[in-house]
Amino acid sequence: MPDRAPEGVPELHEVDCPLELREQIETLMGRYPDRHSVSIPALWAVQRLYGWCTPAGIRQAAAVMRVTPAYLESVASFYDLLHTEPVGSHKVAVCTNISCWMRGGDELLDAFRAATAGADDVLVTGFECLGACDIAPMASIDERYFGPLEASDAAAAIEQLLAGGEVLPEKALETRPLAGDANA
Amino acid sequence: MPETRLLLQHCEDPELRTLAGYKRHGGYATQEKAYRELEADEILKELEDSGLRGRGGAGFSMGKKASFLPRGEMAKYLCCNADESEPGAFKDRELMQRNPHQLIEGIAIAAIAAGAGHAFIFIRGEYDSQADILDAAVAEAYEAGYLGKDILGSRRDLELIVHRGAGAYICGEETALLDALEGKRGNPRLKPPFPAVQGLYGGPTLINNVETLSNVPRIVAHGAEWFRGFGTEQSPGTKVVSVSGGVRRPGNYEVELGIPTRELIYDLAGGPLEGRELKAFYPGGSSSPVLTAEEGLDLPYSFEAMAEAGSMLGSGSIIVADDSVSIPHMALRTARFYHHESCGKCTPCREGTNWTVKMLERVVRGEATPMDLDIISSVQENIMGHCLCVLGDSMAMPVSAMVRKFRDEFEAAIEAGQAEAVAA
Repeated sequence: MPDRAPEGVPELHEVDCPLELREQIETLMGRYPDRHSVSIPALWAVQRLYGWCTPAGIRQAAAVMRVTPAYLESVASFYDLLHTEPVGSHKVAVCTNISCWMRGGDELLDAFRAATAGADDVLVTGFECLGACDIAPMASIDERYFGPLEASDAAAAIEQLLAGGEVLPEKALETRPLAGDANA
Repeated sequence: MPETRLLLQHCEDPELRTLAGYKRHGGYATQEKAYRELEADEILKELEDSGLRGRGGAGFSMGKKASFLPRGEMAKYLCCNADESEPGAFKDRELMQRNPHQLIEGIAIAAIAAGAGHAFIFIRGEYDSQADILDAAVAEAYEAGYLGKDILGSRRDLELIVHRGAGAYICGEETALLDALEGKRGNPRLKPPFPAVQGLYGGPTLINNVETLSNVPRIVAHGAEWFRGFGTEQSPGTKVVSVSGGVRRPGNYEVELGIPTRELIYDLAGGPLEGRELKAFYPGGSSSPVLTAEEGLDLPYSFEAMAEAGSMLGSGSIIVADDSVSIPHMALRTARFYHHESCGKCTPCREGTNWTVKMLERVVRGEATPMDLDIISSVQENIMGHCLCVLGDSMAMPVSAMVRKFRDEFEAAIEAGQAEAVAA
């Protein structure tokens, strides 16, 4: 027998939810036909506020949504981009899938790992296809795409990132013309 | 052969992503006409007659899919699948990034055909920049009265929400997408009932890919006959094709369906890199069975030609492997992806992807025996068709094709390992 029942829906006064978070989630709830639909957006809001999906943050979101914390925990643990453990404040995801692998994705991942050795504030992960095989090998740095990257770009990118400057502006996906126009 | 740009027309104009820029190129005129003058049946008929096939992978007739929704007054939904996560596919990203209003207009018109009052764009969480662009475009469209209540004085309403996923390939499977949108873990559902009958929140739901919906404004504007003037009898229209891997100019190219595959890879994407030769390619994303150069290069790039060759057009994403690529290693990369993304609900997929990865690792480490190749093939056969969705099949198809077509490479990897063991 477990020594206590699983936690039910927490009351708002028990969780000390910041007003800003509460309002964000309530606004979302008003937009969807069913309040459960906001679980992913609510967890995004928690992650934006605390850096990761903290147990306290999950309880706060659960109280606003009127669901159990376990329900949100089960959702958070399913998705790669929601973190249920502390991570650094910067995130680098290096694609190691087929097209990037063919063009040096593994070496790029090694270079980012080397460039961030000792820097706990940056989470570097090898990632499945990010949908940017046109700029292979590529990386997503704080949710923005850069490529094609040389292994030597990694150190520069991390330096710029930690200094708070603009990262690899000439390699940003948004600045690229359509492939068919590039040589026109 | 040059590109035939319809969906990517005017994409060189950076202002295209704004409402003003889009309207300057004639945007939203079709929605205005549709909301003021057209009935659902007229739009539905045009879409069915156009022969537009789904651009997300399955290639099913979009008009037919929409016609499966029951008639009558009830809550119905439209979902745009923007969870593009198939390795090799990056065309929806380009379409959303460069022309978000084209998609919004397509959704608004398709919503009349579906009778939907709520629409959602489910976009993969990694596409943060594109989701920001969509958010801004949707806000502009609300502001200008193309979304919301009583659109353009038509007494029709449409709410459109951009819903960001959080990183899971499985959510591109349409029923898993519905579960994710309902706030659950993204697990596929048993079919039937199909979403057209019982989808989001239990209501009839039309689910279409970004590129499919982006085609809608032009079809309704110019008519089905016009659309059929592009492409082939069974694959009408143009296709934005993502070409990547071992080519000189990787990128998205919009072409008429049915052009020779060789022209796509060589003339547009520039062919293999300096000193390399094309060995094989995935014609339709990582889940399509690979074709060898001899098999595939002279095929027309169409749904029917790829199916006849035992592969598929899928999402329209070509990944080129040149002669420097080890096929056993490529098979392992492919299998690892599906292993990582398997949601775990169905045993053949959960266990099959896991064991396939382990066996392929043994092959590339030189620890396997030739018998293992037959076991790999039999595992693939036992996954196919035995799960709620096709994620497992999506590994089984390319992996079994690679083992079958490049068995000599797999055997060489095994023999090299055995020779090494003897020498040690």
